[in-house]
Amino acid sequence: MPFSFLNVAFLAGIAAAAIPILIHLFSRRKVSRVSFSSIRFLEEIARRRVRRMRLTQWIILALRVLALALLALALGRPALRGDFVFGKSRGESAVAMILDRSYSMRAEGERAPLWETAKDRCGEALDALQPEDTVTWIGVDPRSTEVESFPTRFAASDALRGLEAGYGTTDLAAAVRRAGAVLADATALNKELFVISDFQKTGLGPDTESGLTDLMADLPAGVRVFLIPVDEGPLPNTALETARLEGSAMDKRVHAEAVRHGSEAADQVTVTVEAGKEVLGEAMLTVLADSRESTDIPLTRFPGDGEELLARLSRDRLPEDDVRYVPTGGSGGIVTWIVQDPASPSPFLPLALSPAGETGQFQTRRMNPDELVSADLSRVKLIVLDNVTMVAREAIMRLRQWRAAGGALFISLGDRVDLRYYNESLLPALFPGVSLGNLLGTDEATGSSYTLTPRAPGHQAFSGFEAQVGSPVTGASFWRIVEVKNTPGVRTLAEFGPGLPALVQGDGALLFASSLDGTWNNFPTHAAFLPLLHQSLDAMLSEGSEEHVVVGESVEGVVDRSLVPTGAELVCTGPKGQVLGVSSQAVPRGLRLHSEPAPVPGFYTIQAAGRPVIQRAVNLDTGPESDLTPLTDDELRRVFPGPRARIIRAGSSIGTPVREARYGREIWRELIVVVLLLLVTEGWLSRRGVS
Amino acid sequence: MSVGESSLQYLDPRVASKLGGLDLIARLVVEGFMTGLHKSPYHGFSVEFAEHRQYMPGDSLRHVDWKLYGKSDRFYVKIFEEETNLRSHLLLDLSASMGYASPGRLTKFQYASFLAAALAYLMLKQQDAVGLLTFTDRVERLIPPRAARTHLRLLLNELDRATPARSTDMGTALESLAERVKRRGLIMLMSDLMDEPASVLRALKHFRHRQHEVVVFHILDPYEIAFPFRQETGFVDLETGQELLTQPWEIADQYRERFEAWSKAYARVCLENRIEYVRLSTETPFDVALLRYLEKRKRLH
Repeated sequence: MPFSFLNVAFLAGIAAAAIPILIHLFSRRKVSRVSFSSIRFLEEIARRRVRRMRLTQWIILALRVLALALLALALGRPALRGDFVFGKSRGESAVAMILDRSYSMRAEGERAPLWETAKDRCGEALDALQPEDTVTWIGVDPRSTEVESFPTRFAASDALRGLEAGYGTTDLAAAVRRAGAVLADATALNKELFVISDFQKTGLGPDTESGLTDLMADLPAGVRVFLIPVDEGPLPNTALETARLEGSAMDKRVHAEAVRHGSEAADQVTVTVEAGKEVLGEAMLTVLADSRESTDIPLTRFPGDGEELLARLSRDRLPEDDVRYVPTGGSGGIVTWIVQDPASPSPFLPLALSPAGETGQFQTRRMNPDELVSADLSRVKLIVLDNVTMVAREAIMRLRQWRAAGGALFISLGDRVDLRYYNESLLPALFPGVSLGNLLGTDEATGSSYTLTPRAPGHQAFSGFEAQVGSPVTGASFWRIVEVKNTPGVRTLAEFGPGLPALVQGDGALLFASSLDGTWNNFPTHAAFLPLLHQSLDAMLSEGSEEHVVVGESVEGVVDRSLVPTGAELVCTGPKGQVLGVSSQAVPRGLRLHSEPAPVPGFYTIQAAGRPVIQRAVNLDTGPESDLTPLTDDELRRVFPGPRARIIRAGSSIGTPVREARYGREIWRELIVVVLLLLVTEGWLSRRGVS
Repeated sequence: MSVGESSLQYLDPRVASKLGGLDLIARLVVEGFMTGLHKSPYHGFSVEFAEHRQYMPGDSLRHVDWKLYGKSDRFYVKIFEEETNLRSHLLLDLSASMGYASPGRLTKFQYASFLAAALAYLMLKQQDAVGLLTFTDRVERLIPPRAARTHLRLLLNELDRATPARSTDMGTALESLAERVKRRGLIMLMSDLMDEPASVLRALKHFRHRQHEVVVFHILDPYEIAFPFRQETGFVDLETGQELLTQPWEIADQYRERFEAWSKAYARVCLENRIEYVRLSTETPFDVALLRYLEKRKRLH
């Protein structure tokens, strides 16, 4: 194992080791010579004694020389290194730093906010580097590919001073991969990765949800990893995960759902709905440990169109996820058209989507397929084709444009459906990637039947179900189904059996491969029907919704061309006066406006020539990020296995392990001890000689 | 200071060394010694009867011939013819080691020379015949014993001329001498005995075997006894020229032990063989040695 020295200049002190030799040589010349009558007695006595004495003298001389040499070596701060090629310059170090700026770092720790601790530790890590080291910062937010390089550690330190925690989420695995790419490109001899984070269990990214993946595999060989956790153990936290405006103009309410992370329940948590400084509603929630609870908060008045509404939980460790900005949208709900053949309109879907008239989430309207040719689609967000035989060609053209502008489509099949027409005309235009096959099953409920089983149990559609692949989510019998073929872009959420998709979801479109009018199954009469239908539609609508924007995403929407005069200045203003650039793109319905990513939560408004045209509520991407349970050391070891990864807990110096790893283990203390031992031995031998 | 006291001071080797000439040293040392004795109980012993003369006041009654008084009723005292029957040999070691002197002191050789001169003077004063033998690894010079007063000059000249130079082989030299000294007498050896004890003692036994009385004056320097060196020193052997670099404080204790053991071994073996062993340092007053001579002479008569 080679040595390296941190203070090479002090090695010149090794020359001091010659001092005892010079003294020895000098004192040799000082020996007095005496003529003596006979040295016969001296010879007899001294022969062995002198030999031993000379040996002792040489030993003493060697001890003195060694002590001085070792002292000089100790001052040179020697270090043992494992893989360092001796003689290379110390400047050849490339450092990647993953500094977790996700909003979980805004949590209040016992001693200080986690972010402040992280900054301090980051500063310590930078101080441990050499001035000439190059530093690259890597962000952990999956929506950002933040990579910023600094030529020196001083530049990085300067940048660190003005740095604040962000509002993004954590995907540590992706960040490590990015760091691995940066370090792979680096030509430096030393490659180091510092990860300063609260190391949430949920922060390892979507690919590692099922287990603790070895992230060292994503790094080039030889990279040393310093894991610097700033967590203070599992902090209980309650997050307001959902807050949306529901109901009709007559009965407005905010539906709020809170999630509790941690082993303790959150008792009597207050949820308030505020419009500016006015409190519009308030409710109390008790959320059990590791569970979620929802409530509807009646409002004292209907919020005005575009009024900024927010729901807020009582403050806890992480205040950021206690607030949700509620999109008002200016309307009473999701405008939904339920298209049915007039000959046999089914009551199930209209009832399911709007059980209390206009008070539900969906503002439904039943209509004939023919009406689609001329009806105004501009405010329609969802169209349900419920066992529709055919749609006019013109209507399909209009629906296609409407879909391109963000309209969502839900198709349920049934005995009226013309499979050939669907395959040739309707589906290619409105739901590409899906085709229908044979009709399976029987016409009678008494025959053999299929069951509905989840294919993607973790999907939002199955929220609240004990969903497992192969295990039915409902006792309903499906005696007639249609064979559905879908391309990989279309996801199968549920199936009637292996290779028989039951519910498929594409981009803003859902298709159910049986009927929802009670002719091919008894599903509408089962308890699972309503939640499964609502949650499937919620999932689809929330995925494509432009109103549910999270931090790091763009504020966008389609507006009528008339609202944006030619040459008008387009800007997006944020909650704290942030101004984001906006781009526009012509679409069939008008202009799609697209802002730069929103940096903080709040209300954003896109203005064209000073006139607001789009308002969006931007919220935190709650969910995994709100869970403040950190990885244990054992789990960290599994994620970063091997001796090249080192965990540096709070209270431990960062500089020492970094220097020891880079230059090896410093052994000057041991050398000083050896020097002292040598001097003690030398003193003992010398005193013994004098006596 | 009285005359007696001033004479006594010459018994101190340092004082004696300041005098010029061995004859003066010998005379003053012996006179000082005699002064200290107050009365010589040894005067007139070694004489043969010559004639009678009439007693005169002041004559010792010890010498009155009482038989003649019985026959003639007159006091006559016996007159003796002076004649010695004690033949002494002074054996002086001239080996180079005898040339050692610690700072400010006489060399062992100087001390031995002074002692030999004083003894010769005293012996001749006592009408004893005295001879001188100097030796190194061989017999250097042999002056046979004579009792004539003029013989002193010869002895002192020889002592004056001698210098320590060569290495010692006392055994061989003394064996050679033992063969040559036929007539029984007194052998007084002055040496540092820096030689193989076995060969030295073998030679001394040889003298004893021939009925000689032997006195060994073992002359040593105080530094040889105490070994008080405190600096790292290169010791150069005066006889062999060999050098030994050592730290004396390291070996002083062991040196002293061995030196004393060596010295005591000589004393013990001498005692066993009825050889008079007298250890002298070059600071020892001369009267110690002179007294030993007189005691030995008394024992012989």
